[in-house]
Amino acid sequence: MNIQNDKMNIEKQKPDIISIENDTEKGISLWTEAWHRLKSNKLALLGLVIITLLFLVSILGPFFTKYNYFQQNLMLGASAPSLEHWCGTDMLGRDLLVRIMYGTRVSLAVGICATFVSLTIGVFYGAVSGYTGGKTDSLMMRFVDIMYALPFTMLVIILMVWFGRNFILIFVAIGIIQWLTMARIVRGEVLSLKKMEFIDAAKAIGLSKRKIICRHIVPNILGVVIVYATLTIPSVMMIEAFLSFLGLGIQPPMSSLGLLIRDGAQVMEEFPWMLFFPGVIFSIALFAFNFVGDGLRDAIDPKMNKK
Amino acid sequence: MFFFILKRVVHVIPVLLIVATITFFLIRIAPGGPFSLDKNVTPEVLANLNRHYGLDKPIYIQYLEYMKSLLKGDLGPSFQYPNRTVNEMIGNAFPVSLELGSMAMALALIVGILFGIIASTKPNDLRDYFSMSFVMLGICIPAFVLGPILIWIFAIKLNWVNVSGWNTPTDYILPVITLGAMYAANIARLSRGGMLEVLSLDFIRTARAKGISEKWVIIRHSLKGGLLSVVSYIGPAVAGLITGSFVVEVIFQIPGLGRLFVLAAFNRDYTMIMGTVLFYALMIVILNLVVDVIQILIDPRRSFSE
Repeated sequence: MNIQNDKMNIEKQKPDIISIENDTEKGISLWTEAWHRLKSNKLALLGLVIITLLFLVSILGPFFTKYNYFQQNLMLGASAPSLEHWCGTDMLGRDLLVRIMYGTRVSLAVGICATFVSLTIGVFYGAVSGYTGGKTDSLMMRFVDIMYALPFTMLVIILMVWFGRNFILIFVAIGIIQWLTMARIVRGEVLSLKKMEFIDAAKAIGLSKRKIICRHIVPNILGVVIVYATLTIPSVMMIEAFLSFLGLGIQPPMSSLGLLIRDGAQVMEEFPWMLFFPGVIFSIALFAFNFVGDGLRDAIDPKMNKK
Repeated sequence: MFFFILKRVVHVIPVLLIVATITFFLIRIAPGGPFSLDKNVTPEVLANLNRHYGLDKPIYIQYLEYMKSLLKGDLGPSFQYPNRTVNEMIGNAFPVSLELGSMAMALALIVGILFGIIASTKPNDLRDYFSMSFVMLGICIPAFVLGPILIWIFAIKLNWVNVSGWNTPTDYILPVITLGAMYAANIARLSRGGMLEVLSLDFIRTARAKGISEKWVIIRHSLKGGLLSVVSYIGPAVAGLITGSFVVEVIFQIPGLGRLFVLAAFNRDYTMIMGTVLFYALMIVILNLVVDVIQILIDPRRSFSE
């Protein structure tokens, strides 16, 4: 019995080797391995749970509440948390809980869309630059270095002040701030991938440059891209909240967490719950994304483990 | 070292020119001008104002004239406050931001490095977890949430300090903490990681074997190596410190550069916007250079010839 157990244990410890003798032995792909590592990281799992909860509540929640986010109740005014309104109401009598749910929806949407914008630009730029190499690469990277020196935050503020508070413009503006880091990281990855033998094999077969990039390079950088995308989302949410705080982001009656925090900060003396609840939710969201991003990074590339 | 600095300075100039050009055209693309927001301005007065400030000339002439005066170091008059020049207003606001920024950075360094070292001496212990959780708060609670919360607790409820302003010494406390918190958190994480790495190296084991007390092992032998990554973080962090001060300055009503810029952007004060943006860009570039030089100086593995 014991010898059987030991044998099974030893075989379990080599999950990524496909045994040739035994056909029923299954190998585990790298993604599954990474998933196992991720699962053992308690903090990251907690983050994942929190994010899922946030998504579910913010998307489905408003269907279950009695109030919607623009329904004012001027007789009530601002009121403290009660059984009727779990988070209290704001100054126009709007239920804060619903507004927080909508705000979370908007903040998450902006976070994801802007990250997507920066991802698209950054990955494309970095991949092309890294793979082409040579003079084109130096030129493109020189461009990035110059861009790095630009005080983007200021330019975005200028943009937002003057071109109106267009919803789409916010994504684009924030995405423009973030793509540089992604481009640099992707280029680094591509440079190290380029030296691997399977790329030489692909070239030997005669695949065009475009096909090599699309079919071989891009799937292999997905890991890094996912990690940094997850870490970009909280930065983007911060920028959006910061813009809303200055009055440049989302406009009322739509709400975002940044806007709610700003309104709360203005009246926090009399109505502290208006600051407290949005602030806590926002911080929790940032926590969660950061933990998941860190966990993903540790899981996908253990060499990058900073511990 | 001299050539290194020289090369970097040479690179700075085209960057600043590009920044100036982009900003210049960006702000002029927007509809309306600096004076169209004033409601009680009749068209004739508007035309006169525009002519006085040279805004009615074709754009490329405006651009050339601005560049010329830039070379002389003159940033022009402020459109919003006609009696004052941009140079003067920046000159008044910059020292304030500098004070705020340096104090916040000092706080961040002291608190961060301390926490990081404490956490690294007994890794995965209770001390470690507590320090790092505390540090996580700093990372995830952004300045514009932390600021109002601190104000609410200390200025409103406890009434220990003023709510805003930059006059008495106690006014400094809350803004500096708010601004420095995030950087303290990141520095703590980095120094913990760096210290852990260094403490696992062989020469530390030798030092311990020789009987050197743990205190001196840390202070004299591992500190310099462990803090290397902190130095490389400080460069971009300083840039963030300067821009992050926007929020803090607006919340606490501090008459610094960040608030000046925000007000200028809202009021479409062209020259002021150009002035502040250029100034910021210049500051960031200079500070990056200083930090890079320091990094090369203290890291024996690197030299100036790279």
